[in-house]
Amino acid sequence: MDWTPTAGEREVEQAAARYAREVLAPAAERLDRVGGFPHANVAAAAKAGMLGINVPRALGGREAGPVAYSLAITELAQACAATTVALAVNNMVAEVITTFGNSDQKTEHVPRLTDGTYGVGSFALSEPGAGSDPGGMRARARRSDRGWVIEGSKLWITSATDAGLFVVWVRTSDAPGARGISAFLVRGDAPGVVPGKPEHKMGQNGSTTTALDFNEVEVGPEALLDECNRGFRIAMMALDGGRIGVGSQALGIGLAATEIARRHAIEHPELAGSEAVQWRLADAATTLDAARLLVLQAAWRKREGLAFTREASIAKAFASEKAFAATQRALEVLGELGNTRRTAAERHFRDVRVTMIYEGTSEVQRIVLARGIMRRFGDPA
Amino acid sequence: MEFELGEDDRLLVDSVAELGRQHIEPHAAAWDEARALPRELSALLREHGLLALRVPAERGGTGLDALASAAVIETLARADASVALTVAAHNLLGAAVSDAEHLVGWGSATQVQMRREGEDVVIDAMCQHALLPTTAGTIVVAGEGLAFAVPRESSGVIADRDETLGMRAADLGPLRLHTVRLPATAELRPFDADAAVAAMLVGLGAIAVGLSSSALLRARDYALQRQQFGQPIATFQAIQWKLADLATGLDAARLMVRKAAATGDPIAAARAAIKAADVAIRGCSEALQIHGGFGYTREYPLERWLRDARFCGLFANHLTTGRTAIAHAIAARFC
Repeated sequence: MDWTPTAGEREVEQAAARYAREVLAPAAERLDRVGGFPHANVAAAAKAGMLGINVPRALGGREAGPVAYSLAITELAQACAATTVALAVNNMVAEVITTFGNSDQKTEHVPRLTDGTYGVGSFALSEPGAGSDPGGMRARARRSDRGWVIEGSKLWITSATDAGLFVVWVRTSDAPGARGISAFLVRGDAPGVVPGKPEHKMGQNGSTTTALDFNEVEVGPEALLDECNRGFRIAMMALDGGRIGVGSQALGIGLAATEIARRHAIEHPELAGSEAVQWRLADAATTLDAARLLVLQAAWRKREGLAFTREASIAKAFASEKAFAATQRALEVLGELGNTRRTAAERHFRDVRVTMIYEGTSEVQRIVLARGIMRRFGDPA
Repeated sequence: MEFELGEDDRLLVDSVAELGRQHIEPHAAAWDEARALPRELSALLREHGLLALRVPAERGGTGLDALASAAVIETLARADASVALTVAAHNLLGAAVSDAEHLVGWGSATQVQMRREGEDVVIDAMCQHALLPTTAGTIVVAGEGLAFAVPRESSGVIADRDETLGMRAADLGPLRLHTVRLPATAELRPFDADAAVAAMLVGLGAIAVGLSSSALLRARDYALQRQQFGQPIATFQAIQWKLADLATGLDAARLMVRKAAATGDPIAAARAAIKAADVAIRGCSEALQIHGGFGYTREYPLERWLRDARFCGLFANHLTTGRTAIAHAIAARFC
């Protein structure tokens, strides 16, 4: 096993670090206060090549692969987790269309996702009654003379206020559960696509999350992504890749909070000399190192074309939970100062908490993992 | 040990619960958002005897003992932790420093210097994290064996308000006394600093217990109602165990807080506050998790409760310099 990033992957990581330092970091605190979609950051991300890291050059991407993507996301998240989620979802939308789209769909949409023409792309999967169980979705598309008419309500849609393109999952047959679901490509400005008001959230305020209504939205036959009624596996593929992204993002937030605590301790000898402080930092270093390796393992398997569903779930559940814990340990090192906005650690604490929820909760990861584990026990071969 | 409240105290706690349901809980989210409690709230608290919890009835106070007082704080915390913290801080010194008209704040000073000039004392002090520094009429500043009741309007009192992670509606921030001249009577003598810290820790523990109890009820109700995979999520064992663990921790924490209140033992208070805060942080986080994406939004109180619980943990650890005081007490007893 050798997950040492290649020189090309390191180059992307460094480009991400530069963009994070020069663009994201100076704006992060204000963005957290003011909220809303991070327009300026996204525009700069297009220039920095952060909108299509694992997308072919021919379609405007960097073609740097999943490991580079993971490394870049971790760098971005250390500066601004909110912008990171908007960028990460855009990257995954571009990847999904690259993987499942026909050549017309690819040339129509992917370059617009990687050069920022669309602002960002977004996924619309969850619904008020279908979160952990996307098979319970109710939104539908019915055939019409000119293609399809989409009707339904989605929830928790990242960047829905400003996304130029959505990948939308809806029912296209009466088959139960995961069967009978199809994916469509729908422009953000299509008539009848109506985002709700941005949710007020605990953190990640610099990314918008809203409900998204599809009111009799008419699309042509070219909007159907891949085969009819076979969209659920596209969602699962998007989630697998997304989980590497969330794990990488959580890792970045945990690292950033820990670094604040480390610096604070070094500046205060009575803290630096305390085992309670030292051990908190030692534990954070241990768990975040492990998280880094798990995230890299999943990204490396994806790069090598190996199955990585299991590894992505492990990485996502572990990294998000350990990053949350590391952020808490950082607050404890800061003491009452940690409760104030005098340091960014309190933002990191609020930002990291959702990584245990979106892209499949920790509970869902364990369901996915347990299913595989039990199957393995049942099949001695 | 008997931790049950008497009939009168129980009625009072019930009336505080009603006050909380009617007049506090419905506004808690808005106060958190505004990062302030409304001025009118003081009058409401005063009306219900909450600004004189420990002042004897014959002096016009509510006349509660420490156990009943902790129960009142816990009950207030179920409605809003910032209000409970404000009331706990105000009543910290009981009858020793009480003010029926204005709030009484608190500041642990890291450096204190005092010199006497004739009938006056002149004080320099720095409190990094004071309670009610910008809204109290009087702030008790204590440190290095000294304690003073400082009118906030005194010349040389420099108070600021922090933007905070938890307890956003409460008034928290740094307080500096820069050559503040006060009459010698402002010095509190004798002053039992351990008792003051113990009272604060019991208050923090009670607040954490209130948060845990709110989180448990809310998460249970949601788990029973929310359907995924064709069944209420409360039917999943993983969710059941989260609730069972929270309920177990809640019982333990509440008993510890009551024991600390009843005995007044500073070490019992440290143990109770730390345990109660740990249970609340974990419990509020799990309750948030059970709510999924809804828990992360501010339409629901879970994220606020988690932030408030986080404050309890940070503040409790500081007051006792972490678990050090407990460890020293253990060593003294058993080594």
